[in-house]
Amino acid sequence: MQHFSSFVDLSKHKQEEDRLRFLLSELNHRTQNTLATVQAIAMQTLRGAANKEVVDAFEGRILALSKAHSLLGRKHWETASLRDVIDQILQPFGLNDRRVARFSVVGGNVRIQPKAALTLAMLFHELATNAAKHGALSNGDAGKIDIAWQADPKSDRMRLRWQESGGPPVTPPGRKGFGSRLIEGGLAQDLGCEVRLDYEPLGVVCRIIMPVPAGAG
Amino acid sequence: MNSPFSGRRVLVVEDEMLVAWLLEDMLADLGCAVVGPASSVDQALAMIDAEVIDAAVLDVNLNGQMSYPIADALAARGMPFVLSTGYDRDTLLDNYRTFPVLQKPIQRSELSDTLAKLLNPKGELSVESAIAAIAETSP
Repeated sequence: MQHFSSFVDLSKHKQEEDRLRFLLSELNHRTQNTLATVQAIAMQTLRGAANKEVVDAFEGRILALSKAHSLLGRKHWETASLRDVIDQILQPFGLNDRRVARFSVVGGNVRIQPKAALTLAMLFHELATNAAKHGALSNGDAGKIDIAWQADPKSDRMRLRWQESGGPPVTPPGRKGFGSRLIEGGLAQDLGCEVRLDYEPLGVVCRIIMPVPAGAG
Repeated sequence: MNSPFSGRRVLVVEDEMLVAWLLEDMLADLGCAVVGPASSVDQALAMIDAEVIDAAVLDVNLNGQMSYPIADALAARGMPFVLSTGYDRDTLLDNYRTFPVLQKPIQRSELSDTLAKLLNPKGELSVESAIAAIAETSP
């Protein structure tokens, strides 16, 4: 009898787990579809009214957000691999371009929390967009972007560096854009990161020291 | 408009009107002529029978109805298509996982890359390759 009841419990447990998995998959799907609708509404609303740069910027941000959601959805919103976040976001910027290597991405296997994954996804998108407009991705094939990170197992913190080179000479922007706000508000305040964005003459450098889950990397 | 897809006829199957409009606009920007949009399996099958189509963008889930019969009809006629979905590729039925998939929300660059592969499966779509092809066939 003991055996029988534990069998029943197990199968009930399994059913419950399947149901949760189904609901989560359904939720992920609906989120993606909702973001697709937001994208469509924005394009209909802005078509003809706003200039192309504004429309592209908005669409790019929605798509970056949706990619981060999709990554997190696949891992049941537990953690995301930093490398996967970078891969997803930088792929449209030529990360895997076989013709010319623009990116160097070096770092161990670090898993980050959902909130950090979303914010970093948006940040990488902003940095890459800026690089495509003014920085290392803006002048033919000469520029390069080095991304490197290292987790410190003792402090449960990670250092990450985005460094551009080979682009046109850098001049700091006149006003603070979405990227700077994301860094100061999202990364620094929400995630407890130390962040520095420097417009060095040879290329933009963004340095981040952020907490990572214990044992990562 | 000078575009690699000028005049190519692309069927849009999508049940959500706003997303269908977006796809129409994106395809028109690429120079394609849009067929549809169809919002149900029956409507899409009728269009496949009645219209000239070079390729199709096929939403997997049409108001709860799976669009696999449309995929079968297109495959049977040798018409290339891409499945568009907010789900992961893993949630597709086994037989359909090998077809190209566009993840929603759809990105312009991915749509254009996928179309290039669908409409020119033999290689890169480029002026150079077109010139090379003409040079090869000329006496």
